[in-house]
Amino acid sequence: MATQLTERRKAEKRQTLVEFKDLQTIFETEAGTIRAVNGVSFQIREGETVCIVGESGSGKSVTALSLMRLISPPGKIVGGEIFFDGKDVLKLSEREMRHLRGNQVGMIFQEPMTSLNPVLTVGEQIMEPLMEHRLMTKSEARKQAIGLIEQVGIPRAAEIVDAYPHELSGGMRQRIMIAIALSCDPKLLIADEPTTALDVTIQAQILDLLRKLKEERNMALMLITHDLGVVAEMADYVIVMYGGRIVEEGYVLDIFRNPRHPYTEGLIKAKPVIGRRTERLYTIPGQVPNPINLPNHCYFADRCPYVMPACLERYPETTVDERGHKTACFRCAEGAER
Amino acid sequence: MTIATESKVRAVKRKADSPWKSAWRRFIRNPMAIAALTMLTVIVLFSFVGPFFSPYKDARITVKNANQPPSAEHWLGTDNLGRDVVLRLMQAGQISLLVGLMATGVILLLGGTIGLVSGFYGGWVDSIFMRFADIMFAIPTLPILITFGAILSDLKFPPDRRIYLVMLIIGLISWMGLSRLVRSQVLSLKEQEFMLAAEALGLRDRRKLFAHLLPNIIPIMIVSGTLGVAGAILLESALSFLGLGVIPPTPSWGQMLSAANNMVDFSKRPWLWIPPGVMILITVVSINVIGDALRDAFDPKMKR
Amino acid sequence: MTKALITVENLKTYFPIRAGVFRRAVGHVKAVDDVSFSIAKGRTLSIVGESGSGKSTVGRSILRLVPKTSGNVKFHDVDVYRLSKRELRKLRPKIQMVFQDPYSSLNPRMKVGAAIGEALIDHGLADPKEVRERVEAVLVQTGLEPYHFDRYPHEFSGGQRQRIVIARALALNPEFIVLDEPVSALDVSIQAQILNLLADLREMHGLTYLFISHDLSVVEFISDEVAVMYLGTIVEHASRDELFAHPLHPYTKALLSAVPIPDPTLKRERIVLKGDIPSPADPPRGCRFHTRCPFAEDRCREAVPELRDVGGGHRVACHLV
Repeated sequence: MATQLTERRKAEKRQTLVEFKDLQTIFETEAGTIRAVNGVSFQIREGETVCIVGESGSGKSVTALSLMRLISPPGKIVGGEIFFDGKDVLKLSEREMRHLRGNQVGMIFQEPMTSLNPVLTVGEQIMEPLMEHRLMTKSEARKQAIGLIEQVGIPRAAEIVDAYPHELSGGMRQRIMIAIALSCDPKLLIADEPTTALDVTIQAQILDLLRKLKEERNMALMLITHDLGVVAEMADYVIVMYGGRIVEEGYVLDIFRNPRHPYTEGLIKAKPVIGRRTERLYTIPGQVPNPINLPNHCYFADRCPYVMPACLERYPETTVDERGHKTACFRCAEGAER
Repeated sequence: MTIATESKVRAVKRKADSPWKSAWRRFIRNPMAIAALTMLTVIVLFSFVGPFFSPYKDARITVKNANQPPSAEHWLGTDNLGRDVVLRLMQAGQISLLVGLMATGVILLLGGTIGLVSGFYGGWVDSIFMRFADIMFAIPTLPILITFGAILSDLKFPPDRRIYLVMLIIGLISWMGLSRLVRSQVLSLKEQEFMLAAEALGLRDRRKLFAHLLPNIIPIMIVSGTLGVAGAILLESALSFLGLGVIPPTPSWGQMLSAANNMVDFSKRPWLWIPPGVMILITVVSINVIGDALRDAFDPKMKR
Repeated sequence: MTKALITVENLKTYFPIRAGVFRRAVGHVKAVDDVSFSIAKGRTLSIVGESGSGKSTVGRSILRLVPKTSGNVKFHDVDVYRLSKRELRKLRPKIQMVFQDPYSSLNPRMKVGAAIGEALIDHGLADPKEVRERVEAVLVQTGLEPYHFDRYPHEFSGGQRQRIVIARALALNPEFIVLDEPVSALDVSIQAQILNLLADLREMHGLTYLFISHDLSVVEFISDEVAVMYLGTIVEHASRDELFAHPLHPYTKALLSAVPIPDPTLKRERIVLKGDIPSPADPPRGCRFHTRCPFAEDRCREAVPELRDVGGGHRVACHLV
């Protein structure tokens, strides 16, 4: 407990790097308006790993893409502010935005097979941002690229620099993606399901690598995942999203030891864990909500085992406890004990 | 057992449309498509219903009325045999549209079947059909058609039946594109797990072909069929213009153009060649717009 | 030991790599290379492995959805690969399969009821008049509603589609079902529902499963026995309790330690494997795992370790055990 508290104090002293304030991102589709991100507010501090957990349609990826302003039609950011290093990202010009992307914020994606350009060598792809943002000459950039390939743990970097993506395995490509994202020493790395497409043993390598690089560079990491195992291993701070809203957020130990939102609790209980034998798995009944026509009340109400009349009347407001653990649930608002 | 209660699935509130219905809904919501469809309907009505209202439908050919410019009696003038151009345009429209439709029918039947069978069975069946398609592609069609047309004329093939032959020929020389399209679609469908599932379920080939593959290739058949009608109308016009297609007295738009193929008609009697040209243009453009709209309607992801 | 329902003996499935103008085979992907196991009636064997391990090919080979290179697959005493096309078709209803991707495994232009019922009609297992009734019954059994009969797949979520796929297999009254990563594409909260459903159906119908997965935590829940595959071969095979309690093969150990556990207080000694999985087109000589094994010795690079029983039916292929 004591170490945990000192860690927390340390965390609070850190500067805020990113702040989302009531972000609203929608997608206009034929079937109706999807409120992909619906009033999301949270912070990422310097050097901190924040994991955003959620299932499909929870809005976790759209939140990250909104920060990069990579939402393309029919999607649109319709409200809120996103501050990065004190600047409102949503007010930057396209030029300033380009300077932010790839330079101050790096991003890696789920699919290492399609996020590299097949007709360019990996070296050329790492060199691109260096020449663009750092104004390096070709030979400087190349030297730097080889260094980066070494740093992401690929042996024979001097040969790999001239390889084409198809010559590399999935794990290697994801390492190259990380090298590209890190080339300009970003303050924040966004990793959107970086290991979902990879094998377990490769996932372990990549997670280790991300952790190591984050420590070395004192970089903040925004890790988007659906895997609670990955969260437990990587996160300092956890954001749980459901239906485009944050239902719970807090420090990783609080979230796992004392999940306060029934959805978080269900997610933790429903995941089969090695060594925890059960005859039946705990299940959350029903389906992930349809992002079109979300109800006016709590989105989780129809799957919630503790549903109360209030849950079917309006959406619960977020409450904060003395430990800074935030929850959007009426049970917490009333201080109900479980 | 507790499965029923524990995992009871929430009712789907409103029954959603079938893929066909939602494609249709997307189609009729497209203003360009509606405009084109209206245009085409007007042309079809003009060609097939129009003649009943023409005062000249039973008129004899009177050469003394030949080559009159547009007037109150003959809105678009008369041709070199004294026939009313408006009526001629209507009758020609019937032929051109029919040729377009029937030729497309031949293309769909041949191209669709060959593509489906080729893609589904693969192996030597596929090799034979596709090599045959390659050969058909490689044949220079125009010289062959010119020769063919000459032979037909020599054989004194009855002109009224010649249009059927034209339909068949157009179909026979244009099925290859569709068959390749269908084949590649079938190949990609075969990679889908539901085709593997069909195999695992032990379904008969007939079922796999007609219940699983065919409904999934019908959209591309409809789209390319629609575009094919336009292509066939153009080809018929070209053939008739070269004297290889429909020959007089059977009219077609291409044939009407061909009849005006001399310097005097061209410079002095524009009412002879502008109207059929405009008809071809409007028809082909409308059909192509409809085809594109259908494509968007069937595959909304392709848009943009 | 009860009689085996499925017996796989020395199965090899190689896929030719073709190149050049004449599409000559220039090599082979040894997807499955000498695999043997059997599954007793009512039991569930899980095959665990990473990409390129050949686990899916084993499943497809049992259904004869891919051509084998050598070896036998027996269902009861029938050699599946010896059957004529007609006999195979007749056998199909008894051996069913559920696929990973519930989006691509349903025909988008076919209603749910038709998708489930068509095989019943095609095999003459049900009167066209009673098909609807039979289909509605399996819909209910798999946690869906009878009125879903007239719906199209696109109206359903991933988890519901997977229920439809399970219903489609179940409708034929199979004895054996190959489940190829049936929950990998589903959301966490839905995975547990489907796993419970599979366990319930197994109990209700006395089904035998081959469960193919890369996820050891899921495998631990569903299986009686577990086989671990690496590059086309089984490296370890034991009962579930034995395998999770005493993993012997270094690869199994590494795999177990690589799974992230949702407990932030847990600090584990992790065996992080170096390097990537080699290509199954060109597997390493000797023990296939030696290029990544932290304990590899000279003999591992030379000789192929045999899969041998180390007692109690625990089979392992490692020189060091």
